Amino acid sequence: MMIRKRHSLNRKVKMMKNTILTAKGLCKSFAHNGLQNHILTNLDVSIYEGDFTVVMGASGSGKSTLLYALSGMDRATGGSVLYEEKDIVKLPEKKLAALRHGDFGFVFQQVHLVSNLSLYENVVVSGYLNKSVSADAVNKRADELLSAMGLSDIKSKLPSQCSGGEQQRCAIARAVINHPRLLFADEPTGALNRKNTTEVLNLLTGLNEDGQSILMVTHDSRAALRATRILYLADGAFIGELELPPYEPEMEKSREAQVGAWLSSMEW
Amino acid sequence: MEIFKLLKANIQHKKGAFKSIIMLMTIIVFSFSGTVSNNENVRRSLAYAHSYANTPTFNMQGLKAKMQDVTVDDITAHPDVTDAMITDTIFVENAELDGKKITQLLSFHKESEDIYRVFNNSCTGAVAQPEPLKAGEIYLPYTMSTINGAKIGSVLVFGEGDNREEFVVKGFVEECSYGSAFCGFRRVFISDSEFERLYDNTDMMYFAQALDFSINLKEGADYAEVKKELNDMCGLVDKSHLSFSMEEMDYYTMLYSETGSKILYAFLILLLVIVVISIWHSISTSIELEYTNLGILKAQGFTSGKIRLVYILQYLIAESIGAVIGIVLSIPALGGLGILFQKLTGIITVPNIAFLKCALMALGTIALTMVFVVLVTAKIAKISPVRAISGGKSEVHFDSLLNFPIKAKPLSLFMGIRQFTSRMKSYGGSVLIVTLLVFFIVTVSVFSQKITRDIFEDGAISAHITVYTNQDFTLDKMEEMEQAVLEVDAGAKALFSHTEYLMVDDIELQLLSYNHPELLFQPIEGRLPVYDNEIVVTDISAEMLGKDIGDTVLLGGEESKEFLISGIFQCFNDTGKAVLVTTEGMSRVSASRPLLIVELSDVALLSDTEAALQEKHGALIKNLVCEEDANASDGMANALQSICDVLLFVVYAISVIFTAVVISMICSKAFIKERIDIGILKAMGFTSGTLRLQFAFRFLIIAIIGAILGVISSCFLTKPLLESIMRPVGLTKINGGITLFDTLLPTIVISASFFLFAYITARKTKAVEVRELISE
Repeated sequence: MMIRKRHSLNRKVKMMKNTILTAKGLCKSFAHNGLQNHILTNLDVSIYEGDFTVVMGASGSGKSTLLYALSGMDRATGGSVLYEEKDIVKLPEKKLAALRHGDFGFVFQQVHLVSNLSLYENVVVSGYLNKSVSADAVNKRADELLSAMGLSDIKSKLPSQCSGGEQQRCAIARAVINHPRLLFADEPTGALNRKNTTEVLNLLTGLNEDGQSILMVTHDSRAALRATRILYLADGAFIGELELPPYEPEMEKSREAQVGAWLSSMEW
Repeated sequence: MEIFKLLKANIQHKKGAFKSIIMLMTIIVFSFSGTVSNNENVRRSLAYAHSYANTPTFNMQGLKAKMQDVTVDDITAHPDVTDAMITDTIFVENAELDGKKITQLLSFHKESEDIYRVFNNSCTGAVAQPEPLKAGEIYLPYTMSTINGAKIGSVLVFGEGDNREEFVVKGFVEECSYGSAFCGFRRVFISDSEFERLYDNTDMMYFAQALDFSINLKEGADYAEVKKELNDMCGLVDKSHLSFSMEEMDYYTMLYSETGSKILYAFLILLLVIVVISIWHSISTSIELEYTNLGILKAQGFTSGKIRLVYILQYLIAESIGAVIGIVLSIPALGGLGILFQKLTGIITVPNIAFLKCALMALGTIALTMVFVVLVTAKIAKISPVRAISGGKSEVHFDSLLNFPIKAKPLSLFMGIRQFTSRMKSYGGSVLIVTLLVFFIVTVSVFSQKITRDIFEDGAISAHITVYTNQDFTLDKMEEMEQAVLEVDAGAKALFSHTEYLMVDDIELQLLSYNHPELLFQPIEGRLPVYDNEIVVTDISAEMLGKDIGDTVLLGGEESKEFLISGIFQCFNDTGKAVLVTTEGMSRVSASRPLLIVELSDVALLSDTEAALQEKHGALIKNLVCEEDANASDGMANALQSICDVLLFVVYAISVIFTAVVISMICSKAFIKERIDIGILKAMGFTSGTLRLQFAFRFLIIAIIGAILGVISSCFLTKPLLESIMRPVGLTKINGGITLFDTLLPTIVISASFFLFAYITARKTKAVEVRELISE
């Protein structure tokens, strides 16, 4: 078990893995009725290639806000987020859009599939945005992904005609259609039942095993078991980090105990 | 009190819809306020002009040679005639104004008889004390400035050699009897001494002594019946050149303000339908979007009635504000409308707002739309507080029959198609709006482009040469004279023509005769007259006579002759109250000689043709008039075309403004509804620009579907609609079909407007942040 102080994360792993994303002095605050509400304060973090990074924290700790700030979905109010030596906080809308459909993938808690597109269309439309790949190649990959997600038979259905698990699996397929360098997942199992949760987590774990870097936010300790690295967020800053070996189902019990103890130490 | 709180909050929260309703109502009330008030102004000004001029119940004009044996006593012998007055006048044909031939017959009157008001120099009113005319000065009716291009200082000339007369235009008078732009007869005024000089020196070749009969009837007397009986008693109608009742004169004066108004009223009804659709859409969407809030209000104890009342008051306030603004804005516009219609009526039109009528119409419009507000808000009663509070309406399921697959290129277009097909029902109103707008613009375009052409080209001939024959002429010479023309210009149109007013089965109609009617007219049904006992009638004459093809009619007064109706034709003379016979047929009922009219294919051959006619048939020619720049209907066609162009412009402008407002309303609601989807698409990597494009494509698709339906509707309905509207002018059949060109411009304008305004309204996509999808 490793408990580290604020601002002292990542020193060991930094030496061994490639960094995908680095945030420095990241701040995010919202103005409400003339008062500033600081969600993230002067936060530093790096996300590494091949990791399944999970950010945990209590409700309202700023987990999702961090995820959106790191992914460029929302602009930080201070600091920088460096991706390929570019600060995405300062990128114009067009370049941010290009990042979203190229280098990053995103899975939402509430799924957020486009309601009037079928499952298949939700996946391919994302692919079509990537102009460097032919439409045929996108269609082929979408078929492969949907098949891998077990959605081939229902791919022509609209989201409203599918279960929550099916929708979330489709959302994952959509997020990875363009081979993103980093997949962001915001509480992807938050709205799912136990069976669907397991299915989605298995999918994410499988993707990570195939080399997909993942940054997931969750408050579900069972979901956190799939991580290779857990960061704990409290009051807008990281207060702890836990590194884990790759997930193996047969080792789940001991992993559960290890993570449980660590979370307890974080006053989870 | 709580209702007013809610009302205030609703208005503040939905300023866009509130402003849009104000704007739509402003346009509607402005349009009908302008139209109704202008009509009232023309009608009131005309009534004032009649009372100022003491216009008789009916007026007749004719050559003194024919009518001098009819006395005042002969006329007043009729029990329904209260008084009659006969005054001297001089008929002048073929006069020229600033070197251009005047096609209308001029009737010269003494200045002392001038009972009409004189226009001031800016033609915005009348002068209080007009200066007396000096020798060589003349007053013309105001519409001659429109039709003949007359200006103060223009020179009017007639006669030749010793008989040449020249008058300088001193000003214009408000001639309310024959002063309308649509009359082929003009009263002009010269000084009394000049009149006496001319009258004593009349030369039948250029001008002729004539008589003017002003007859007043008892109130309630049947004008047509009295005219017929007077004709039986003293041959008054048969001997006259023309006769018109005050009602008939007013009909011609008001013709275009009435016809134009009818078209605008039809347009306004369509706009009203569009407003109702927009209100319906706005309220339905608002209820859908506010489902949870409305449920909470119900849970708090608000009744459905109270909530509905808030909606009703909100729209009532918006519409009332729009109505007031519309009426106020129409006041300055009335000045411009007055000037425009003054050009056709010749009547000094004082611009006033018909406040009471406009207010009543505005109230009627508001009441009508309120009925729809009440109906559409009925669904508030169905809102369940429990369902609303527990997450709103049940989930929407898209079920489209038209699921076009989404292709990679062009992605925005395919996304736009999908957005349309997945909510097709909700765009039904928008499609209907485009259908109505396109249908109406096509209709007005056809009206503007075809009607003037039909009216002025059908039956029209440009008389480069007009030959007045003398008493030695006989009908067997017609072919030889035509041949003389064709030998010089083989492509020329040469035909003998004559026009008179005659009793046809006891109804006075204009009788046209041509020896080659086929050169000018095409029969609508049956065939043109070939034999001297055949006649063709217009749809309108046929209706007046109660006759059809195969029936017979009697032409002429005492010695009437029977004619067989061989066909139906279209003619705009006397607004379709006309019939047509062959020249030989005309000779059976009239002793008058026909004129030879020549339209050359090459005007350079004018002098050669004139020389050939003089050389070969000089013995038969009384007078020969040549005009190089002959186009009988130039001024009239231009005046009418300018009115049509203004009407078309107004319809286009209103349509585009309406499109902007309606699109803004519909797009704003769609935008609120789809805010989450927009956020998702942004998260997927779509830029604001491509999302705006998708929005615009969606509305372009709506516009194209609506436009196709509008064009199809036009193909079936435009001609019958216009034919019914234009029937009072004499147009009962529009020639030719609706062309691609007629439909292309309206389709492009409306579709482009939809695309553009949707693109502009969709700029709000920029404001959507992906973080709105975050659920912490």
